[in-house]
Amino acid sequence: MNSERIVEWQFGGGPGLSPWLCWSLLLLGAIAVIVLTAYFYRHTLSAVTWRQRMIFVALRSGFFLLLFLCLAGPSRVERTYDADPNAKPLVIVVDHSQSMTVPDQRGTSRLSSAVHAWKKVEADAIHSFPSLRYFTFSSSLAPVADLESAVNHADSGAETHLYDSLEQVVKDAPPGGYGGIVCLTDGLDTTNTTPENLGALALQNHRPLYFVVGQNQQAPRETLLVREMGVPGQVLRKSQFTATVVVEAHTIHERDVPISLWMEDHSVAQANLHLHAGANLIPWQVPVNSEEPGLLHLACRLGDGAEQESTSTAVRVVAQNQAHVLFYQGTLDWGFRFINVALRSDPSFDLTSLYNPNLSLTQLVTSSKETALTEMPDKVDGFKPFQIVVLANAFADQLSADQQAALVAYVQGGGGLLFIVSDTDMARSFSGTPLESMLPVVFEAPPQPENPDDKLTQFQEMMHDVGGSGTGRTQEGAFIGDNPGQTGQEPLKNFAFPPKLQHSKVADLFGAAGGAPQSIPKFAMYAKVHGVKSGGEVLAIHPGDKTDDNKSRALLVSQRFGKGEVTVLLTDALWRWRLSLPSTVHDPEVFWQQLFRLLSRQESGTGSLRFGVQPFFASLGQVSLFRLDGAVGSTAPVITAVSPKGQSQVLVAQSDTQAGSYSFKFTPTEPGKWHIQAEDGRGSQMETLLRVFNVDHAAELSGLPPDTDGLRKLAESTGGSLLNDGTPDNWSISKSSNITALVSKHSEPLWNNWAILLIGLGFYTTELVWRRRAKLL
Amino acid sequence: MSQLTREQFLKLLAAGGASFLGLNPPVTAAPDILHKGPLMPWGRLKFVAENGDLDDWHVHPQGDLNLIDTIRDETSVNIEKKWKVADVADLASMTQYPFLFMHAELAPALDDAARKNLREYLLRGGFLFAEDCVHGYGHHGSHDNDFFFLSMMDELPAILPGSKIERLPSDHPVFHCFYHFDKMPHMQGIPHGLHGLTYNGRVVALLSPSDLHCGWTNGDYWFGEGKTKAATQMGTNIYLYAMTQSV
Repeated sequence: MNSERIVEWQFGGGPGLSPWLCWSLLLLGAIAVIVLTAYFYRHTLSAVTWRQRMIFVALRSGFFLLLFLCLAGPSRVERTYDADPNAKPLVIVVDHSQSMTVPDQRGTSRLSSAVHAWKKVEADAIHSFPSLRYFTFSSSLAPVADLESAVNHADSGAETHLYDSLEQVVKDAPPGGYGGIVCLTDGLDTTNTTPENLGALALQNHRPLYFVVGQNQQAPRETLLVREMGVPGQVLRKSQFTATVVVEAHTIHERDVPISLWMEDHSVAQANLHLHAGANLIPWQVPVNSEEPGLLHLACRLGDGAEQESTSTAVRVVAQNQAHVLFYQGTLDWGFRFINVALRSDPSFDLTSLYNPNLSLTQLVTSSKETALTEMPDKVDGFKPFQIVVLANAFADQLSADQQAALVAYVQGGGGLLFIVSDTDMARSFSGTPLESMLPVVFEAPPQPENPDDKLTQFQEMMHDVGGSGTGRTQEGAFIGDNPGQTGQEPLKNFAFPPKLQHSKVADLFGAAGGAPQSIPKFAMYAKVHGVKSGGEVLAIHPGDKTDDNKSRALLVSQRFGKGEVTVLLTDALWRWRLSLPSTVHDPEVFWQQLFRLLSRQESGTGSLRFGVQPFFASLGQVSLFRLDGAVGSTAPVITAVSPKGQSQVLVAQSDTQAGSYSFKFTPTEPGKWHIQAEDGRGSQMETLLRVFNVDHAAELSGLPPDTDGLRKLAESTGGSLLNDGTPDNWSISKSSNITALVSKHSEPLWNNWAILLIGLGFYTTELVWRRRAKLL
Repeated sequence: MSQLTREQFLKLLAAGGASFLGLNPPVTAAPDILHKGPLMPWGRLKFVAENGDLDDWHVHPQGDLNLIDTIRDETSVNIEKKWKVADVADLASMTQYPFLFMHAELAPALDDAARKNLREYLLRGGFLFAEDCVHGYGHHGSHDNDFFFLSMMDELPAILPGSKIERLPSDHPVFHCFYHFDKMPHMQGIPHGLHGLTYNGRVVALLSPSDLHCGWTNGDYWFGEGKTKAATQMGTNIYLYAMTQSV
């Protein structure tokens, strides 16, 4: 750390006396002593010369002066200051993605160009900041020891998480933070992230961003790619489903590009997608009508002429019956809106909603089949049209004893029940009811009477006071200013999984091996229950909260009851999870569909052969992972990869933990379109297309020029700058800032010194010796 | 101590008189006869209005509270008795609310980032209720004052390409899902009618020119007897429709 030491002498003075007064008194005393000494040496026992007399006086005076000086208490004070109290480390973040490391025809990479530019200001940085810290990133951030380690980092990632990485640096800053963040980059971010959040975060945390832009002569290249074709694994005959095409494009100039979806040999939909200059990731949704059972081939054509891209996939059309869902709401909740959308996007489900009659709501959601339900059936026959009943946010007293008994009999007879409750008091109301007897959890004792929330009442009264006709805008503005804490909700929490849980249900709901992180549901509210019954299978737990006996609180519990299946969800209906995810991510919808599929016993293994996981493109030599679901038969499906030249290659599939599911890997050996075909023991077939590129298609190598203007704008919005323009002025200000922070102080009195003692004694002994020689002693 | 308003004076007088007579003072709120569902937040959308106006978005905060009171009293919806702020410049703040209320007198001045955030919010499943507070240059009832409405009529379809905005007919469920209305209750301004923004066959936003919000705030005083009730009932319908709509 840069520090500066200042040494000074302090003359403390006496107790209760100012140094000035004390010194004055001591000076008078010293003068008096010298005068007295001279006076006493005026007459001696034996005669001494005038010179000897002066030496005696000088020695005696020297002794007394030294004594008085020590009595005055001079101290040597050494203070150590931090050279700049605001000086914080500077962070150097090096973009090590492929776009930075791939050399141009001259052999110059953007990284080497950026390092060259950085070296011009590095000395100023070292001089202005107490230390430098280094990170490198491509798809993830990693600390490194120095710039050389960052430049020579082994991994050049195929993705650039520029904004995410810088956000992480800002968020993970040590206490006191950084003096600034310098990033060596070309400004390319291959994720869908925008720089606004980073800019706001940096500004909020007072972390100016500086960029060093790497340049080279990499030729710009435009790319068009169908990144994904999202279709249901299977659809019902004569139904409508949504196909989602995700287009990835990099373009130099703003333009439109045609896109069309083809079913077999006729066009289903056409559109023009508007591409802005730079990277684009655009979802395009098309409603598609299915036809008769069998494989329905869908192809997407993007662009025209030589640049046209096409890919295809297949959807299995089945004649399977729909699962009819009765969704009962005891009290209203936003979760229904999102579950409704999830189920309606899958033609396997048909939803009928039913409200507690006390809500006086007109039915807005009814089944495609006419159902004349106006309230919950009180006989089991009333539930027969439905494969699944959802009981959401209900109180026990909203259901009569007959209705509860009918529901129990319905599940015993093979029905599926999903019980959603996110409020502990609401859950407690079911304690001791017939419904509790079939649920996999035991509820806590009934609730205590509610206490009014004084704070809320007080807040409401304040609101009444500030609003309305009697108040002006000034008061309302003051209200806004006085209530900055109004923004923000409780943070979401992830579902956690019980240790060592390996069950096909978990894989179905959350994805294989406990699910990819983005697939794990998040919740805001949850209900506490007394415990889980012995037959209950806990599928998800609270990540932190535990019961009194130190067991993790259950959030999702399932159990068989009679011939039916009961699942209890003890959280909110996950609407905030849905809203927290980008619109292109459909994990919540998949979760709900899978959960309802489990309840309706549409086990994957009993369905038809379909791809559960299928990449749509790959690089030459890159391993691609596939998963087939719904395979029937005692042996693994036969899987064949047909090359662009028509040569077949048999692939080996491995059985998954889930019945009817098989995984396999494929490494393409030549570029072009590969057909991946599968056939199970029943003769059911499925196929998809894998496009193989010579090089990694990723945006990294799109050849887009560095985003100099964007980086400059981002830097300036945080108080930073582009270091290619030279050393920022505020760095030199940092260097010459005032010394104000005292790091340490050491005070040493004068008398705490052997030399002073020896000098004093020297005066005295010398005088004695001279007095002896002059025969005065 | 702050000055008493006439309303407060009368209430105190009534309470004092009642207690003098040995009667219970009048109760203004209806008793809670329904079980309440999970707690829901209420979010007001913060945005910059025309000419860089930073205050227009939070006009009359009491109006929201009055609607919340009505919804809580009359339905099982458990809306938190306070409103919170969702900034259109911050998508993360918006996605904490399933329903956002957007209200102002002036035309919004949305930049590309704000439009992008609104589009993403709607695509994720959020619902927007945008309403014109009817700018009257200090004189309510002027007929030249639908700046917010006209601006949002252009903005909303542009924000969500592929969507369409159109006036909802009187038999639309939003007018009948809880309370029944023959037509859109109107407080002031030009009665363009309630408009719905439909995307993929689903109403994702509603746009009103009728200043229901001022009706929630002080409808009877400003617009005539019965207006507060009509405005809060229509507001309740809009909220419940967004929660329970069929597609």
